[in-house]
Amino acid sequence: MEERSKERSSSRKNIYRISGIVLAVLIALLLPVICGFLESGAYYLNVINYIFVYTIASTGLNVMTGYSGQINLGGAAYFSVGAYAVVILCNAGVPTLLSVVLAMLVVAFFGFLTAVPAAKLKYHFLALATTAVGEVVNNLLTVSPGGITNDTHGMFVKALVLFGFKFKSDASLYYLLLIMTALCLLFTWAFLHSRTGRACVATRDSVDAAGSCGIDVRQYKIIATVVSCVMIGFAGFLFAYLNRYISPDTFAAGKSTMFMSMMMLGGSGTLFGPFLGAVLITLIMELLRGIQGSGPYMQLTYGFILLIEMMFMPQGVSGAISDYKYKKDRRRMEAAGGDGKDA
Amino acid sequence: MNDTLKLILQLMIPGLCLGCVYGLNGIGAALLYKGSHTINNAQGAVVGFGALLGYSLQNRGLGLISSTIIATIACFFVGVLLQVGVISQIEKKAPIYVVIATLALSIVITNANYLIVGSYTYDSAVILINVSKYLHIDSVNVDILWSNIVAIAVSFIAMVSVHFFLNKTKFGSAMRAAAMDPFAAESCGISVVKTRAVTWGIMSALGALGGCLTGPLFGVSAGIGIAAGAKGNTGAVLGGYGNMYGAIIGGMIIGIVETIFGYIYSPYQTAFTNALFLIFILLLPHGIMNEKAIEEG
Repeated sequence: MEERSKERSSSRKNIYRISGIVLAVLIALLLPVICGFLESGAYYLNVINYIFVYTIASTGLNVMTGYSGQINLGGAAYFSVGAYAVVILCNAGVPTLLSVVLAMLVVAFFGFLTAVPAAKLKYHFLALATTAVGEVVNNLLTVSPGGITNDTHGMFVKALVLFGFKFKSDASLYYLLLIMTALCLLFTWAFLHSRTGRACVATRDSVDAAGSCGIDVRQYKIIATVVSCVMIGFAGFLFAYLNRYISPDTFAAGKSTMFMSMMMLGGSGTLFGPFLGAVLITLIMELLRGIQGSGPYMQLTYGFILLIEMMFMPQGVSGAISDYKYKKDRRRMEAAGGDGKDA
Repeated sequence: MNDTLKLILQLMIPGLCLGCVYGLNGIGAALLYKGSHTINNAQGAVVGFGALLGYSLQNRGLGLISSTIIATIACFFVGVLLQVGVISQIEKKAPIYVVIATLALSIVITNANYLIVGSYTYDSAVILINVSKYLHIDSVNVDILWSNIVAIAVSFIAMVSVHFFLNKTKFGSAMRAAAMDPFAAESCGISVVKTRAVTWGIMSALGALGGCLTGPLFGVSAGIGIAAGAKGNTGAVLGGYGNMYGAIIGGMIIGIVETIFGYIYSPYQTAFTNALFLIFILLLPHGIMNEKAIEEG
């Protein structure tokens, strides 16, 4: 009797889950249409597009920091290299698709260049070193050799043309970014469930234990860093075509902190944590933007959110949710009279 | 020959002055790393806060010396408050969270500074140190700013007093013991909570002193200390992380090198200094003083 009711409830749960996923996909596909009916729908759509870009970037960061356990406070460097490389190549007349591939190779090489020496650093020293990398890159963008980045004036970006289709409207960009975000999350999931990804996670959990299992710790740290850099660089490319203007100021150290805080707020080391963090932080920032003279208040609130998050739930929102679930389950089990082992 | 000597002297003194301020921040970074194996990204913000506090006290009519002392002491308590109220809570969970938490603190304090004073740069050359005059050395025909000399002298006094505090007083010994081995120190009756709080206090106080001293050189603004705080960490790594004396030397090297790079080609000043830091942390992680504190993995 009891078993049957349990079965029924679990099948009901499955139905809820499936219908929830179907609903989410439907909403995601119809969002531009819905936004078309709203008063300031274009603005909402634009904000959502930024959320997607930041999701990809912080997911990339998550591969390095959340899963492989290496802190990176220079994310903006890879972000900017990706953006600038694509735009410069495109301006030079290289076909878009080829220039994206070439730019990702550039980012990968740059990531490799920083990962090889950085793989031997730990924690704070890695934080300091990556901050320094970010500063160097930003300085080189501001005063570029030969002026290829147009220095402080920044560069205006033409609309993205892929396979003869011009991604000019927010709605078209929305679908592109939606697909790209989904692919990136899928890629991260696949990466984590591959041999390489598991080795990276093992490295995070314990360097010594992983090493004693025959995992070449240094090699996997480098792999995780390069994968993460390419993803961040890819987000940079999408950002360039979404923002349509890039300048060294858009890639200042604040961006690195932002990616870090998105990842941390959502929950580092979880698949959907970065997405959650990107949604929360972007929404909070946009809500505060409406207030008059809000610059310092915006930053202040942002700092406070990050601080409180570090103080009270360093595992992020996902961590807090799973913690809550765990406690609830425990309580229910205890109430049922079990010793918390079965059921 | 005389021209070269003149140029070197002309660059050396401002460089040394900057270096002293970086060294002051570096001492804090080194003490903190030795004591609790964390770094402080909020140092720069505290430097800015101290500089602004000193400036506004002078605006209220206090003298130079008294306002600097008051700002320094106030920032000592700010540091203690930060450690007790925020950092000690996070330290318990995982030291790595402190890196991000101090980054958040830095954002909070810097923007609080902006909210209070706005984004102006106050020209405090006359107000803070009424010695915007030059010292002329006849034999080599060099002009040196008195503010630079005052800053170097005061920094040296501060460094020497920190040295004596750590080595000659009972609490200083307790601090060093707690840094060496917190558990053993605690079992000997030393309050590690207290020593860590005082470490943060000293760090913030030295930062504020540095801020007050650089005020007359660059003008006081809300973001004045950001670079100085970061360079403190850089200098500490250069000298061998965790070694106080190494941090002083490293800070001075950074200051002088930065000034010379600024003279050679100023647009790449940041890149050069950071590249130097990267070379050091990657190739020579034990620093000048060969301090084996850095963790490799």
